[in-house]
Amino acid sequence: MSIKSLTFLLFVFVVFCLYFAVQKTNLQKIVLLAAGLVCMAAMSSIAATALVILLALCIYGIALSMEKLIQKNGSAGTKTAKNQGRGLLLLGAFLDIGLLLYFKFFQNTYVLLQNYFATKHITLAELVVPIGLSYYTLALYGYLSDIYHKKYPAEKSFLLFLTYVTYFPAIIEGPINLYQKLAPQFRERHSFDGNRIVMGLQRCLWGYFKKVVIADRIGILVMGILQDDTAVGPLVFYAMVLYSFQIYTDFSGGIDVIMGISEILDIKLTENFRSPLVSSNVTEYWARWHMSLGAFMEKYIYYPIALNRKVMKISKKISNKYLSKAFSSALASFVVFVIVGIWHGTGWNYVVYGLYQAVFVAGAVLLTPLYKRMKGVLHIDDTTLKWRVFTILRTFVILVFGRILIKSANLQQAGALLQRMFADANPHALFDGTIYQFGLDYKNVFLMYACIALVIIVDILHERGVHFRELLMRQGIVFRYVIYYAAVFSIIVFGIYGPEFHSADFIYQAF
Amino acid sequence: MREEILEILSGICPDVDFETETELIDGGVIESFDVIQIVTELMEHFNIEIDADDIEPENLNSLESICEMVRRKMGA
Repeated sequence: MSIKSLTFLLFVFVVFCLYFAVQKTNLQKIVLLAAGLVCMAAMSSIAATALVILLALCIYGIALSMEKLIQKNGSAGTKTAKNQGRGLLLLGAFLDIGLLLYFKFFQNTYVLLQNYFATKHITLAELVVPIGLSYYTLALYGYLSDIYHKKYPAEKSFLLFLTYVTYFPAIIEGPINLYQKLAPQFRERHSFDGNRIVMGLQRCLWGYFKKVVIADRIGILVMGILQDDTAVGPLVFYAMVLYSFQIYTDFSGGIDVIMGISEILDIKLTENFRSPLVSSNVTEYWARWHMSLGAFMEKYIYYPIALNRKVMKISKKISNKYLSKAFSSALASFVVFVIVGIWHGTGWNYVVYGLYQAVFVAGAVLLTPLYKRMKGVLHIDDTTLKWRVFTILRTFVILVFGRILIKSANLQQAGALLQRMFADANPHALFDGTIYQFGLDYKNVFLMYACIALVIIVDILHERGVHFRELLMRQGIVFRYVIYYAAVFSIIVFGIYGPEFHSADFIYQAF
Repeated sequence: MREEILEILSGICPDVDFETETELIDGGVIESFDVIQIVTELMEHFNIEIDADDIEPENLNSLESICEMVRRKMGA
C-alpha cells in the first residue's frame, strides 16, 4: 500500500470515519492502534509487524523494570541499583538499536543464509524490514534514556505504548516523535472540528502536489541524465541541483501529508522542516532540515558527548583559549554527523557523507575566529542582502556536492559521477534543447521550473512569517473552493502516474 | 548571582536580550554551541555540576530558569 495509492486514501478515509464516530478516548486509541497495525502489515508484512510489537513489548517492560528499580532505591540509589539500571538501559538500547543495525547492515547475511538453505531445498521466510524502523527505534531509545534519567514516569498501558510506536502516519517517513510529546495526546478525546479538518486537508493537498507533481517529475529528468553516461559536465551538475529539489519536495511533501492527516486527527507532531532552502551555512541547514532527527541527535548524542567529563578534561588541556572552548562541541558535532550519515544508509558512501557534513559543521565551530578576522580584513558586511544571498547559494552548492554521495550506490560510483561532472565545461547542453531528451519534453521542463520557483517563493514567504493556510481560510468561500479544485485537478492532471512515468516511493521511506 | 549569570550569558551571546527572552531554547535563540559555552562557564564560575540531562528547555529557556537551575545545583 503506497501513500499515493487509492487504497491508502480509502484506508485513511475509513480511519477518519471510525475515529470521529467513536467519541471515547479509549476507542479512538484503539482505532489508531488498529490503523497502525494494518498500515504496517500492508506496507511491510505481518511478520515484520509482529517483530515491532515484540520490540515495543521489550522496551515497555524494560522501562517499567528500570522505573521499579529507581523507586525501590530512592532518589540517591545504591551503586548496585545504579549499575542494574544502566544494565537495563544498555539491554534496551542493544535490542532497539541492534534491530535497526541488523536491518541496515546484516540483512545480507540472512539473504546468504536463505540462498544456502535454498540449495538444500529448504525455504526460509523472507525477512521484510518493518516500515518506519529508523524512526521509532530512535524514539524508543530516547524514551528509555528519559526513563533512566527520571524525566517522566514509564508508560503503564501497553496498549497506549503500542499506539504510540505504531502511530500510522508517522511510520511512513517520520518525523521522529518523542514519547513525551506524542503519547499524552492519545489519552485525550479528539472531537470533530470542520475548520481543523479543512486545514489538515489543505496541508495534505500541498504535500501531494509537492510529491506527485514536482518531486516525481524532477525525478524523471534526474534519472534520465544520470543514467546516460554520455551526459557529462554541467549537465551532471544540473541534474544534481535538480536532485536537491527532488529530495526536498519528496521528503517535505510526504511530511506535509503526514502532518495534514495528523491535524485532521487532532494529533500534533513535531515540525520537520523550516524553509531549509534559505540556510546560509551547513549548521543552519541541519537545524532546518529533518528537524526531528536534529533534535534527537542534539539531545541524546551531542549534549552527552560535549558535556562528558572526560571530553571536557581533554579540552581543558588545549592551550589555545578558543579551541579549548570549542573542542567538545566540535567533537560532538563530528560524531553526530557520522551517525547521521550512517542513519541514511549502509555503505562507506554514507559514512563519507556524514564526514563531509561534519567537516563543515565542526569546521565552522573551530574556525569562527578566523572567519571573523577574514570578514574584517575583506570589509565584508554580513548584514547585507547581497551577502545573505551569496551564503545561501554557497551552502546550496556545498549540499549539492554532498548529495553525490547519497545519490550513488557506493564510493566508486560517487567518484565516477564527480569525474563525469568535471569531464566537460561546456554549458551549451543546458540551453540547446539537449535536456529535453532525457524523459521530459519542454512543456514538462517548463512546468518543473515553475513548480520549483513556487516552492522557493513559498519557502521565502514562510520564512518571513506568511502563513498561507491561515491566509486562505480568511478568503471568501468561492475563492477558497477555486483554489481547492485547482489543487486537486493539478495533482490529477499534472501528477506523474502510470507505468511509463513510474512514480517512485518516498525517498525517505527507505531510510 | 543573577547579575553574574547575566554577565556570563551576555559575554557569550552579546546579541541576545536575556532580560526579556523566555524561549532561549524552544525559540532557537541560542544554538547548541552557545549552550555548551554557557553551561561550561556556569560550571566553572559557580563550581557546580551540570549534566547533559539537565539541558532541557525548562532549565534554560530564560535568565530566570537558568538562575533557578544554578541555585538548585549549588544547594545540591
